Amino acid sequence: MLNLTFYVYIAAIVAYIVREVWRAKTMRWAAFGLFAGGFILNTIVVLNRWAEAHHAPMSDKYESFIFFGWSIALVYLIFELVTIFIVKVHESRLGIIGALQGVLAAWMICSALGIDSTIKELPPALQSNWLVTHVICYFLSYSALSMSFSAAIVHLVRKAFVSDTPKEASAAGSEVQKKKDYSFDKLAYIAVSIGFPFLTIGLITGSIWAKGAWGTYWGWDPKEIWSLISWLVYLTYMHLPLMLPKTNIKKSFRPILLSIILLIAFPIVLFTFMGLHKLPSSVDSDHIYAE
Amino acid sequence: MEGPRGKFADWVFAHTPPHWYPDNNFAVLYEKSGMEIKDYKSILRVVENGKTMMTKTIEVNSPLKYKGFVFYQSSYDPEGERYTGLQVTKNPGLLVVYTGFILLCLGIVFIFYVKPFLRKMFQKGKKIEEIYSEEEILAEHIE
Repeated sequence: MLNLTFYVYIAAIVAYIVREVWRAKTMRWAAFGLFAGGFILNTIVVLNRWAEAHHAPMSDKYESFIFFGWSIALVYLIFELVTIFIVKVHESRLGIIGALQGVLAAWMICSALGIDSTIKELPPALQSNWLVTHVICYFLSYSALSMSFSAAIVHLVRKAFVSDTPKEASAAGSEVQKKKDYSFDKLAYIAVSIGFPFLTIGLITGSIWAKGAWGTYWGWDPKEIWSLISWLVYLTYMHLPLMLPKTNIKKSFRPILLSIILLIAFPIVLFTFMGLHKLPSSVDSDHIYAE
Repeated sequence: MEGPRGKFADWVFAHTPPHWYPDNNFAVLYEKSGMEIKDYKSILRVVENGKTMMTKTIEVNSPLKYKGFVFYQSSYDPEGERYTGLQVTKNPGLLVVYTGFILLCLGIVFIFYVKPFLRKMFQKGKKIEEIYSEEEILAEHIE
């Protein structure tokens, strides 16, 4: 089942790339359908695991990888539906981001494939209702932030290789078209403005939970420190646009700088999520999922 | 053996009755399932002026609270059943911290979603340029 999910995600990536090149309406729905199909399979895997393990499937590495893949797909699909039906922007704009998000989701499933998947007892600290709230907030946030990461990549690539949209051709008709076009830095901003509140709520629920379980809100455990760092980096991203006009940085460089910050920020988030196992200081941390 | 959550069949280390320590203020309960520790609990008894005020079985996510002091289950003896690790805290400023938490959450939701909505509602008919400064338009990608 997990293998199948992985292959469907791979197929979705291919479909999204094809869709970028060959912009036909049927292709658009084929790509969307494939990604949605992968998402449904992923949902079944998650639910199945939930039923088998008798606890929310987000406690060890295997479960959290699958769950992260699931939430990436969920957030992307919601984004695409909203852009098509509510914002009604040019539908092909989101395409290449779909491919990037597909790569992330497939990567997560792929990492889960090689991992020991035996069901373990929840350690005492995780036996709490906060688990679901805290973890879902974080994964939704991470997925939205991964959207902003992909959008920043596309924005930078377009800035580097695609010449700016011709300004001379701004007749009345194309002006409207331009307005409906999604600029990728705006998309990145929207993604962060969704991801950041969830990041904050995740941080705070985690703190309240830690108070109930261990007696301190903040134990300076490596995971806590790194989640604080990623929170601060996104906070910087949110505040910089208002600061930059007061500095000497060139106006045309400012959006690029913001995109670069996003490029740095998401790897920090990923490191918080899965890189801490490699730190020597994290051996006795309660946040490290069972190996 | 009756546990706090109903009948338990697998009290491998369980002391029946629970093993009270010399000062009679706490006891340790052990429960094992498979190779991993599923739970560790202690029975605490609060004694004030020679009278038992309160008895509670605590575990990791459910501490005992008494007159501003909170007793947490924090560790156990991995080699035997000789002691239990407790953490005792007193936090008079708890309310302030939690108020801060709530304000932070509300504030973020307000800034991102409520404020733009309210601005639009109250300043209907005005142009975007009149409501927002140039920096804000650039920063928040307003169209």
